[in-house]
Parts: sequence; C-alpha cells; structure tokens
Amino acid sequence: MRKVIILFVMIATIFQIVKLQAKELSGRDIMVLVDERDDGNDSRVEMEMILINKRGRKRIRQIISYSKDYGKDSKSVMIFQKPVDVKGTGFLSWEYDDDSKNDDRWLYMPALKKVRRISGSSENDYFMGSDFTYDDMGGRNPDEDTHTLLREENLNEQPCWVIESIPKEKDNMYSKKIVWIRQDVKMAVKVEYYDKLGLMKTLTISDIKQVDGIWTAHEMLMDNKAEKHQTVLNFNQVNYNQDLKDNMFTVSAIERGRLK
Amino acid sequence: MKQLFLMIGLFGTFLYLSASDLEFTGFTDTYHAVRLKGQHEFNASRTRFRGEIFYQIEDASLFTSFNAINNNILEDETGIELREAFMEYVASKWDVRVGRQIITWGKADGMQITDIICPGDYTEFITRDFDDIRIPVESVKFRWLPGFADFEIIWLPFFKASVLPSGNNPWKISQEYNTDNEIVFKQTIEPENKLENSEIAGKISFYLSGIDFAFSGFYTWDDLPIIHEQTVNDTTYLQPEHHRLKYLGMEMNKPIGNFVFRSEIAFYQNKFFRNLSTEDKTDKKNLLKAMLGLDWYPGDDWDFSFQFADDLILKYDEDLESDENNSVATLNISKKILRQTLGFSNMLYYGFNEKDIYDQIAMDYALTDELHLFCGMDIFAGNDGYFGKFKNNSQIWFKVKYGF
Repeated sequence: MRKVIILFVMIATIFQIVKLQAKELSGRDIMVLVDERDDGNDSRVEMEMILINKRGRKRIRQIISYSKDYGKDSKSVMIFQKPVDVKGTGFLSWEYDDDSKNDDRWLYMPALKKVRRISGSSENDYFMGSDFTYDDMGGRNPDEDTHTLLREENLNEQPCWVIESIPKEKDNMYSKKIVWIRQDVKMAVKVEYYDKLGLMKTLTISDIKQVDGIWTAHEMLMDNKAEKHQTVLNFNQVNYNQDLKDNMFTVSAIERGRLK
Repeated sequence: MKQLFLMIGLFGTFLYLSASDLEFTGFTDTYHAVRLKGQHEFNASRTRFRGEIFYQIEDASLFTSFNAINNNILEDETGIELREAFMEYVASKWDVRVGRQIITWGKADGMQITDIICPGDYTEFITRDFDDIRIPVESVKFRWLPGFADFEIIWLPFFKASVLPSGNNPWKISQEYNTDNEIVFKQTIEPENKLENSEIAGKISFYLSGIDFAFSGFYTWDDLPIIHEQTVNDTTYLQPEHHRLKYLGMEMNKPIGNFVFRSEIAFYQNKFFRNLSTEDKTDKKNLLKAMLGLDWYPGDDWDFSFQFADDLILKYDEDLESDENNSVATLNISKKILRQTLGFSNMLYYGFNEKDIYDQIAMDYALTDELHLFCGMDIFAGNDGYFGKFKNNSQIWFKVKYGF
C-alpha cells in the first residue's frame, strides 16, 4: 500500500512539473519551439498555388522547391513549372538567421537567359500575385517579433497555444498576428494577420500528416478578406532528407532553367 | 516548296511530340507598329510561331527552338529559322553545352558593355525585345563548377556578324560620303571558316554573400564592320571589313538594403574607328567602356533602375569621326497592379553627346496566364546621335502573345 502511495505521489509530482513547465512557457519559448522543430535537413516539395479572385476565377502556378539547412541559415531554390509565361523562372535564396544580414537573392529570367541579383529586403512584397508575402512564405526569426501567450484553447478539437506576435520593425505591413500553435506537433494551424484597420487575412493550415517521420502541412489557405481574394497552396509531393547536393543552390544551377 | 516541306515536317513533329514524353512548348506572337509622323506607314508587321522542344535522359538533354515567321515589311525575314539547337551534359562539378545557343554576359540592361558573346540583330534598331536582339552562336560552352567560383570557357568556331537594317528597311540609316567620285560598295570581308579564325572566351564568376563579381576575356572579331576607303582615279571603293578584337572585362553586383548596385567595365584593344585624316579613313584605337547602375526595389511591385554608361576612346585623335567620350543614361520604371496581371513600364535612353532620346512606354496585360496583350510607344527625339537619327520613326505598336 505504501508503494502504491509513493507511486501515486511520484506520478502526481511529475504531472505537476509538466503542468508548471507548460504554464511557464512564454510566447517566445513556444515560437522558438516551433522554429526549432524537426523539419529535416533538406526538402523537396512540389507545390501548386491556386489564386482565386472574388468572381471565383482561378489562376494556377506550379513550383518545384528545394531547400537545405546550413546550421541556422538555409538555402532554397524554386523553379516555376506553370504557367507558361513564367515557366523556367528560377528563384535562388540564401537566408540568414542573423537579423542584421540581408538575405541573398537571385532571379533567373528564361526569356532573357539572364540571372539578376535582386534586393533581399522586399519582405512585404506579395509573391507571384498571391496573398502570401515573401515574409509569410519564409522562415521568420522568432526574435523579429514580440510574442505574448494569450491563452490555450482547442481548435478543431486539438489543444493549441494562442500567441500574439507584434513585429519589432516599424515598417512591417502587419500591426500584429494572432497565431494558433497545435501543441502536439508544434505547428501553426491558423494565423490572423492584422493591420491598423483590423483583420486583413486569415491563414488556415490543414491536412497535417507525417512524411518521412516529419509533421508536414499539405494545404494552406490564405483568405484575404480585405481584397476578397484567396490563395490555396497544395503541397502535393514532399520529401525530406534526400541528401541534396550543395551545387543545387547555386546561380549556375538556376541558369539552366531546370534542376536535375 | 522547301519551306512547305519543312512546315509539314514541323507539324508532323508537333503531332508526334504531343503524344510522346518530349516537352513541347512555345508561343505565337503578332506585332505591328505604325509611325506617328507622315503617312503613318507601318514600321513593322510580323507574326511568328516559336516552337521549343526539350528532351532529357538522365544527365544529358537536348533543346531545340525554331521560328516560323511572316514579316509583311521585311519579306526576307519570312520563313523558317532554327533559333537554338544544343545538347547539354550536366555532371556534379561541371557541365557542357554544345551547339547553337544564346549566351548572355553582363549586368547591364539594354547596353552592350561586357555582353558581347552574341552579336546583335538591329533589324528594327533596339525596339525589339532584348531576347530577340541577341543572335544565337554556334559554340561549345564548358563550365567547371567547383563551388567557390564558376569557370567558363567558350569556343566559337564560326564568326557571326551583327545584323544591320538594309534594303528598304525603315530602320536603315544611309551613310553619307562627302565626295564627287563614283562610289563602289564592295562586299563585306568576313573571317573565313578556319580554325585560326575561331573566337575564344573565358570568364570567372563569384557569387558570394552580399556581392557578385566576375572577370572575363574574349579573343574575338568585331561584330560590326569598319569601312575602308580606297580612291582610284575618280572612283572611291568602300570596303567593309571585320577585324580582330581583344576584350577584357569585369562586372559586379552589390545589394544594399532595397538597392542593388551594378557595374561593368570593359577594355577593347585595337578597335577600328573612322578617321578622316588617314588614307583608308580608318584608325585603330583602344576603347574603354564602363557602366554604373542602381536598382531600387521599394516594394509594392515598383521597380526603378538607373544606368549611366560611358565610352572613352584612349589616345584620341581629333580627326576621328566618333567623339572621344560618348555617354548614355537609362531610366527604367515599372509597376505591376491587379495581382501582377497589368504591368506598366517606361524605359528611357538619353544620349548626352547629341542630347537625343529614345523612350519606350509599354503596357502588358495578362488576359489569361497564356494570353498577353501589349501596347506601347517608341518615341525618338533629337537631331542626331544614336537615337535622334530615328526621329521620324517614332511609332505606336501593339502585340498579342499566346504561350503554350
């Protein structure tokens, strides 16, 4: 009986510690957990981007994207497959964790057969006419925002942390973001983007499944309420840890207009 | 008849490719330009079908593109032409591309400072798209890619000259010769197709964090001929001839915040110029060309690009027909709206020597992703100079392009 009591006390203590730890997690701690969750050393993604205007007319873009981690930095390359007017366009990006360092970006334009160095700081520009800015698409360093844990609540029957993130830079297009983080997989499943006038757009992330042992979102819907426009991102084919070669993330590779 | 067979062959190829694993893409475009002045004659009126075939087996690939053109103004251009046809092999640390291909060097837009591998097609001056101005060259391009830099060697076994407007082309500029003699225009002397007349180029490029730069060299021929004069009795013979040219160049890109600084510098050794005091009216001089550019990406789909370029003839002789310094500036402003389906651009060239202008104002509307409608104006102003001499050719134009 004494052993049972000791075991009960131990289990209760462990639960209490875990609960305390969870309570002590700050908004920043949670966003660091999200940032540092396992997303593989490299990845290959076949992506379909569907732009839907207020009349329901659709425009479709298909992109093959590769990325690879180099410590806290990363390199990525995207080659556009469709539509025909951008087919073969290559976008190479070297992204740095250090806030003080601008990302390096190059754009290959197949019609001109020329690579152009582009500015690394147009984060607020929309990507290919979609509702995603470059900043929405890329990995934002957690320390670029001030995070506050607002509450814990269930979303679609999944326990979530709800975080308010306020950009530290003054020229950011968002005044704040409210982010729902699914606690079990440490992934954002919903984001509300606000500007000074109120809610701009809502991102819903769904179809989260494990691929090669890594939790992966297969669909994202960005609903731009202000402009009555939507963008759907479908991740049709995702592979991780393919041991991608370094020479894929070079200017000489995008100059060919396609990757092996 | 030969072209009819070619068309049938191409159509058959198209049907075959549609049903095979080969990739077949391309576009059709139709472009028409009317002069703003005078009787509003057509400066250009052409329709083109471009087919592109790509086939890949593992590390090797084949690419071919061809044009079928109907030109209502320049009938010589009507027909079928092979544009590019090359094979490529890509290894982990090197690649090689052999065949007829377009090779682009340099950081400048709409200016040839270091971008001199492909000669220019100036049939419609520089009003055509940049990709239509470059003439593909038969060549072997080998690149060694060890990671820290890209090393490139290009061998061009056959010389190809730039194309200048001729015949009844509205863009033809007649050269005036101040003489009472009878003038006899001889056929242009081009290098023979011999190994020793090959051209060879090399380039080392570095793409680093925060900066790109490259060094290049080219043992080439001048794509534009110089005219040697010879007077015998009362006859002046004009002999256009291409000459050997040596080139060394450097280019650089440096992004800072929302800006990208671009620069190019090139040294041309022994370039021929017209010199009125010499016996054959030509002279060899060294030429220095340089360009400084600044791109600004303020966001919201605005792009601004400014360039300043200067040509300087070294050890200048007052009797040279060309100015010692020739400076040109460009300003390109573009903006996209309606989710990047409607684009506006304005590319302005200004020649400092003659105070002449070329301004291209253009609009591009994507009716669908496949179908684009373009319209615009090319405005030339000034009395002389590179742009001013086309002051009567200011035009309004439209283009429709369907890609597949």
